[in-house]
Amino acid sequence: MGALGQLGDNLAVGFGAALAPVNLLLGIVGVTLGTAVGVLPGVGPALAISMLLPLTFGIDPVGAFILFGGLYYGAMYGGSTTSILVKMPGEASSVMTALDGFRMTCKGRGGAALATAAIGSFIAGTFATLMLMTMAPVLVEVALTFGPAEYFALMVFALTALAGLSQGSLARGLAAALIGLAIGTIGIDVQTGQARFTFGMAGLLGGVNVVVVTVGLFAVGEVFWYAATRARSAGSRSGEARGSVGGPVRLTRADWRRSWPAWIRGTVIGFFCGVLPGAGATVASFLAYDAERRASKTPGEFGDGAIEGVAGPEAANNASAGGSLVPLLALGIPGSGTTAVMLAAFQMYGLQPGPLLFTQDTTLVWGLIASLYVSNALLLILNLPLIRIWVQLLRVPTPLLFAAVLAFATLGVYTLNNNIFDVGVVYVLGLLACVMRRYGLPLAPTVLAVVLGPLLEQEFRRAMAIAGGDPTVFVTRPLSATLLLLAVLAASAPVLARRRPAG
Amino acid sequence: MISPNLRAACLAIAIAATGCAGGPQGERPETALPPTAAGYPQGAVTLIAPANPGGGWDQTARQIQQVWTETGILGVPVEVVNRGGAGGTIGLADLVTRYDGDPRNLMVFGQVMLGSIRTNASPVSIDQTVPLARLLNEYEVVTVPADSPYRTIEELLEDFRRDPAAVSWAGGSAGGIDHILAGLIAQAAGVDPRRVNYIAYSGGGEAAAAVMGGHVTLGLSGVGEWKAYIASGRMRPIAVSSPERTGDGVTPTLRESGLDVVLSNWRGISAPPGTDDETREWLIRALEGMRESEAWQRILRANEWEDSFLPGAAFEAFLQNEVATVDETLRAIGLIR
Amino acid sequence: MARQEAASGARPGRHAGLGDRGLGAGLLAIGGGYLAAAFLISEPEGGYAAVGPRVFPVAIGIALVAVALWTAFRTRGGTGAPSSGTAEAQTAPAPASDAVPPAADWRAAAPSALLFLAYILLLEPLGYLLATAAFIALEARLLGSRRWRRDLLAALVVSVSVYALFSLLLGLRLPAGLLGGS
Repeated sequence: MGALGQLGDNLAVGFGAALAPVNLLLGIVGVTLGTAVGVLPGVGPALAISMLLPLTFGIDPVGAFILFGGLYYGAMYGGSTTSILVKMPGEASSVMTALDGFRMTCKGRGGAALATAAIGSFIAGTFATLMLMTMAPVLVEVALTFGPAEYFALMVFALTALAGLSQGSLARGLAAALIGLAIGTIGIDVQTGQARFTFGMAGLLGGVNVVVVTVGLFAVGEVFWYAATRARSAGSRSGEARGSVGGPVRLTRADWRRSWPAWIRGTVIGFFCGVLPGAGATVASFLAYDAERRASKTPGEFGDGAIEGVAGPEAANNASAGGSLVPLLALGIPGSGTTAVMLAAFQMYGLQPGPLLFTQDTTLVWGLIASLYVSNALLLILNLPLIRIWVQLLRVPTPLLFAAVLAFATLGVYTLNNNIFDVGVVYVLGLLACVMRRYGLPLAPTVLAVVLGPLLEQEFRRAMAIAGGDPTVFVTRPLSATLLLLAVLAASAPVLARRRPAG
Repeated sequence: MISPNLRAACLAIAIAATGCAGGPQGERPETALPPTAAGYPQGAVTLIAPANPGGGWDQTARQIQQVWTETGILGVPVEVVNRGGAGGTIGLADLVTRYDGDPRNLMVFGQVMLGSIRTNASPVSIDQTVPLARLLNEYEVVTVPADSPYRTIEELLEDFRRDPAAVSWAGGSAGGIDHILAGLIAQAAGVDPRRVNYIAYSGGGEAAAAVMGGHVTLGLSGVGEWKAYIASGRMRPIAVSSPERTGDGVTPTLRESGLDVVLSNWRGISAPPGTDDETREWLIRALEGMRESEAWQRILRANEWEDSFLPGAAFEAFLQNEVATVDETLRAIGLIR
Repeated sequence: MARQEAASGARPGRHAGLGDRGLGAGLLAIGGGYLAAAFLISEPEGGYAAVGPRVFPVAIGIALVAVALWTAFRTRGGTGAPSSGTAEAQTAPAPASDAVPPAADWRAAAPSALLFLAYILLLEPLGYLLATAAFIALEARLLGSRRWRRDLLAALVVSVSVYALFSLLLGLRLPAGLLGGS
């Protein structure tokens, strides 16, 4: 009762701060800018926040964090737009959205896909903030029990989602994933400082950025593929997708019925992945997609425009943004690139996130939390009407649109490190994507493997080193053993299911 | 209360309406240093942070930007550009090759870069730059999980000597300052540094989580960086790498614990090759002005950084010495041959 | 890699036979090369690491080679025809692609790919604004657009507005090039 009253008081303070006209304005600027930044491939919220930092010197920290919070959520949502409309995700966390989202667009249901993404993001963001507000102290304990062995087991579990991405041919799915794992090993090895597969190129020492892989394989690869096939396909691409321009934006009753459970599952999966430092939005969106496919009565529809395949991952990547604020605010540990920048921002204001922040700086913490609710509402209000405008993007003739996409991709990747070398890597990956598509290799497993590979390897080696080289550490720790068991079950489920009807 | 609010409103309106907020422009502030005879600086000065947003160098660069902007010492806008990758050597290569002779581009760097230059076999080295000044020292702290049986570093090292593999040390990436400290401690304790069971994390935050979760025996990081974690009671400091006690004044130094180890994660700033002496002097004066400002001193205090300002030639001599020490330690750990 | 592709892909007659065998050979080449490079990674001597930096890459390399062999030599009952691999190749990635991908014509793609390469190389010397405006207009034409004036106008609008957003508002440093002065 007392605790509840305290919560009410805090929230009142928070909303008082968040709804102050100036801060509300900053919130609107944040979500708008965030959406814009999210739509552009390559440019992420981390970069946008760090570029805005100097502009916020001297303004009230509450206002600054309201701006940053809005930007973070806005960017997570904005990433879905290009995925759905043109199948060109700008970040790894919206790769899954592209699979079914673009098929929906081809079927004239692009508006509905964007709507389920927008509403799903709103619900996920709101629930994630609610959980952040009420459960942060408990969740922090859970996050801390995850050691290297547990992380490794979780990544193995995430790998089982690959099976779902390569339904047609397991060999091709595996090959695509292995190519991704190989790309993930490029660069300096964290444990020993050794350069691997860099062939003397300084630009490769830092590894191949996941954004570079995503933009190269999807956006650039798509344009190259179009250039190679357009003569024979006679521009069918834009013809198909154009159907969405006048198509319905509203969700049908069936859409609602199918989206609801996906939003909820995506929110839960996304939030917990966000809480674990390092796991993040990409793993969350892959797991959410896999969960939807497994839960569906018609898994065959996945990959051909199943609305759950958009609703789940989109809810998951937004919820993970909320989840990653848990270790940031409660422990001061950044779990993602964006929260690392936010931590730096806290420190520039002379604030030290951690348990003390909650008691010492009530206005700031609760102002930020309240502003997250407000940002979510603003995002929904802003973006539902904008869907009609986004869909107009499909009116742009494909040659012009694709030429602009290449320019945007170049800009986004260039700004990552101000390095033209990265753009060269994107080019090579674009060519690789064409070859892979020519031989029927799916692209999504490659992106997932690039994200998972380094985590898988480093956590495995950390766990082994701590255990003095004893591999039983993965099965003697209960949480790790449970996760590995789940992974085995998840991997064998389709096999068992196939066998049963056969007799 | 009104003034910051007004500024926030102006910012919001500026962003929303005009989209023109490219930094302070127009009149030269009165506090500005007069330009050099050659007219330096013309146009904005850029600070290269050879790291991704959020890291230590990025933070230092942005704080210099903040103070220079607030005090208006340069009289021109200050920008920060991130050039992350390969332990900072990508940013270094940029300064040395791309901005050769263009001192409007400066680079923030620190002790860790010396290690990266060696482990990454970087084609360019720090003595190709024109060092301006060392700005600050950040010392290292050694911590154990809150429920660790070890009360002092002596107790811990006793077990370490008996079975080095059983003691796991969490810290930043291999060859970095944390790894070097681990090697130096082992050496001082009479154990081959190669036998240190070092668990590398890509950032201090991840390493902190491993310590707080009790997954490793001990952790190493900057005093300021881990201050909040220590304050939360989830980890316990058992030693600091400074010559004298710092911060809380309670944690003993490594020297007090009988280990002859002092290690500082200093940070400094360099200009590109080909910077003429007049410009160099001007920049050092601008840095002195920053150092004397209340804003800079406040930043140092907030981060538990020690003011170790060392300009020009003295910094250059210091660097040469540091390069030799880092080299020797990395060799002892077995990271370079 | 891409060059070989360009040669073989240009002859649609060979298309069907390329499926599994071609993929297997390609993967074998990648896997073999990767595995060889993995063995060049030196394990730190007397190291503290329980698992060294070479173990994972070697495992990935072996797996790649294994998948390559599996792809190349598996025989499938039923259809029997060598085209079965290709047919599957075209339906399998359906989740990620548009229905049935038409045969690719690499020669047709070459000009636009080369123009993109030129754009990347000229971005810094020419500056963002000039290079981008010219690139969008030209690339649109290579990709099949035939409306010069509209494309040029759109290219200008896009590059100027992006430049304004990033350079002026976010303060990102884009190459100024020829228009940069100083």
